Amino acid sequence: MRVVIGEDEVLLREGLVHLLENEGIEVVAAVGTAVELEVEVARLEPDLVVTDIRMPPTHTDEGLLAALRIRRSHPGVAVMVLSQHVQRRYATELLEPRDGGVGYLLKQRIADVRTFTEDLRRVQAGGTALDPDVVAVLVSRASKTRGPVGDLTPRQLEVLGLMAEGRSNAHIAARLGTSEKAVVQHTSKIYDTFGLPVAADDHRRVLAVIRYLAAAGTAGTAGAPGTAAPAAGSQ
Amino acid sequence: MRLRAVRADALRPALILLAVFAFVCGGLQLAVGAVAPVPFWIPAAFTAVYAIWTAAGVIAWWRRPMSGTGGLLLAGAVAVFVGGAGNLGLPVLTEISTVFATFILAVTVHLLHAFPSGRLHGAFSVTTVATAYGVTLLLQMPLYLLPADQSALRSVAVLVQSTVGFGVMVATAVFLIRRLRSADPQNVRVLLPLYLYGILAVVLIPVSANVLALLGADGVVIGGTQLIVLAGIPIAFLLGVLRGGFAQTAEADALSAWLGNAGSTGASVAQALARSLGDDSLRVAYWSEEKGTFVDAAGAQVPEHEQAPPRLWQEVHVESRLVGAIGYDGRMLTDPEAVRRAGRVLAIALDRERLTSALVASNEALQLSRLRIVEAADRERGRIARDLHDGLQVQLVLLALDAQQIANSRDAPPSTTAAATALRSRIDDAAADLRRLVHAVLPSALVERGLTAATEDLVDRLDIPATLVSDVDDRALDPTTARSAYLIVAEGLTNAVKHSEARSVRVTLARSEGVLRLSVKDDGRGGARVEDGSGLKGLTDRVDALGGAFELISPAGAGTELRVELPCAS
Repeated sequence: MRVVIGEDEVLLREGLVHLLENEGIEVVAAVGTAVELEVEVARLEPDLVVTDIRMPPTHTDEGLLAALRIRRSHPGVAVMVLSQHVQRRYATELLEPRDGGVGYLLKQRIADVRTFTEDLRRVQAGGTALDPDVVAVLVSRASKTRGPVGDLTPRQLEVLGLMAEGRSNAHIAARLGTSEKAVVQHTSKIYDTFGLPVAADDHRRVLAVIRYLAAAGTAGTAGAPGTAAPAAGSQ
Repeated sequence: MRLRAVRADALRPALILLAVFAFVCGGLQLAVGAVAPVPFWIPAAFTAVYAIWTAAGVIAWWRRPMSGTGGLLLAGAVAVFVGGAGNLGLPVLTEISTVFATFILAVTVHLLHAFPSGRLHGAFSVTTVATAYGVTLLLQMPLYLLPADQSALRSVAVLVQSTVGFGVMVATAVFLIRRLRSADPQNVRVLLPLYLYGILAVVLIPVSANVLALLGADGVVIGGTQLIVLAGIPIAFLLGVLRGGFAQTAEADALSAWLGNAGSTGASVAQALARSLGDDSLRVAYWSEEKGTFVDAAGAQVPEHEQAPPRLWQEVHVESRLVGAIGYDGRMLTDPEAVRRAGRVLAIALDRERLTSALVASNEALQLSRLRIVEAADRERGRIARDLHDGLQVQLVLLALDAQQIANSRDAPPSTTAAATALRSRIDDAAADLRRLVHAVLPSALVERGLTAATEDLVDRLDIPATLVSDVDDRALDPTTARSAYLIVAEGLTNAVKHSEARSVRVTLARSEGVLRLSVKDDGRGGARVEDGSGLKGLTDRVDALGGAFELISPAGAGTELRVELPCAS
């Protein structure tokens, strides 16, 4: 796997390079600005881009905007966005241009090297990796509406959260200390509850779940027509 | 205003009565003239000229009650009337008319010297005018007292009268030219035509008889020309009085009433003074304590020559403290007492204005200082958040990474692996705490995107259902406004969750015409007061410093709405 890194903090950039190379991932370029990042991506056509959001010159969201452009202009390049703070808006923007091949994590997740590299490989393979923090926001927003999310059991909610993070059934089973079969039962129940068609592809199932959650939450905050219910307690 | 009205009430009926009386006199003259043994046009023409002088006198007096010009014009009218009465064929009237035959010329000289105030100023003028009256009354005497056969003596008398009269006109011309040369440009444009006409009239009326006779004109032409020139004099003076804005239109006490009513600024005070005292060149100056000099309304130093003759300089004091001065043309305003009276009124206005501007200045300084404090606080928040983001947050990632790598190293004993993993986990917890702290100081979304994105994140993480409606373009909002708006919404949402027992909350952000309007409205128990939480109190100070409006609507049992308006450049 060939990776280009965009990170303006020198120590962190070097740490990332070191970490990935230790895991047998080839870092073909590591740069400190969004402009250089896009140049290197165009030049090297890597398998994966790992980038910060805030970078010079304005230190606002140029890393994210570069990532979004790369996702549109380079369909073969997977993108992992890292940040000190995660929020729903960026997650939905990243998921928009095309299915899969995208990740959005807190920088702190780097430290759990094994999970992080697993996430990178899954994203590179066309999957998704959403930070638990942003998934929690999505689930909590969705459950504040009177939709079906509120009908799920706590265990189903746990499974839902891990699914939305992009985890495989095997990983979820290992994390929850249960069998894969049990996880499949939970996921089927979740699809049923949400009224989602059962897709063969794991990645597509995950995306369907995330989009369902995002839409349910939107119904709650923006009062979009045709949705299940207005914000709870508004009557 | 009432003071002025009382005076006008006293003057105006008298003027009306005077006009009626003059009208009757004119009518009588016409009636008698109709049966007199002279062609009718002669009494008719004299009556017309008389009417013009009378009308000019009444109008001038009416419009400029503080100027003597109107009275002088009426004196001229009487002279014209008496002159005309000589043609009516009544012996007594003819005698009187002979005595006052040239009196109108002296009145005209008097008018020239006394214009625009109607009062003579200086010994030179007084002497010249007195001589003019002497020429027309005393030197006229030989002409009707000497027997008709003493032609040699009569010639001598005429020569003496003409010579002295010529002297009077030369003196008058010298006087008027001196005045013109030192007058202000705006006064010259009115004075020059008036002076020229006045002098020409006085010279032409007596001279024209001889000149026109030499040219072969008959008595009708000569008399007609003289009457037309004579009729022009009062018109010229009336126009001068009205157009030039000369002479007081109102008393100083009326001015004070005006000042009391108007929210008068320096410029309008000066204008009102110029108008009411009758000198367009009048200037108001202010005493500047720090510069130790007089300055104009714009703060520029008043040049020295403004304070030197022929300009006069009336200092204005409030309780012996110098506050300003009135600079005026000493030739336009001959009554210093009137200026002193106006100065006392002006003193009050100037002092009020000085205090007001001092108050406004200190208020502005205070407001700017408050704004600077808000901006400094925001800068400090920004700096802290940035330092944490670039420093400590990165350090914690690297520390956790190191701990995990120790845990993952192949030769590490299981106890070390477990300890290092636990350490990494605790570092992650610390990082999460730090993340919340940074978010509270200055949220990433506000730095990266702006108000709507940050508010959305805030609403997303709220424990109760929340709705956000926003039409604000994040990138078009200045940072101070955006940060303040964010802090207000954050505080409003915190209160809704913590104190209101609200089940849902709605946030609205709208921007139009340079104003950002935000509202946080919940369905909780209401009854909230600004004094209850230090958070809201601090925000009202912030809103105030930014020049915005803050409103907390919280009736008991009916929810709470926080409404704030912040100015934002558009």
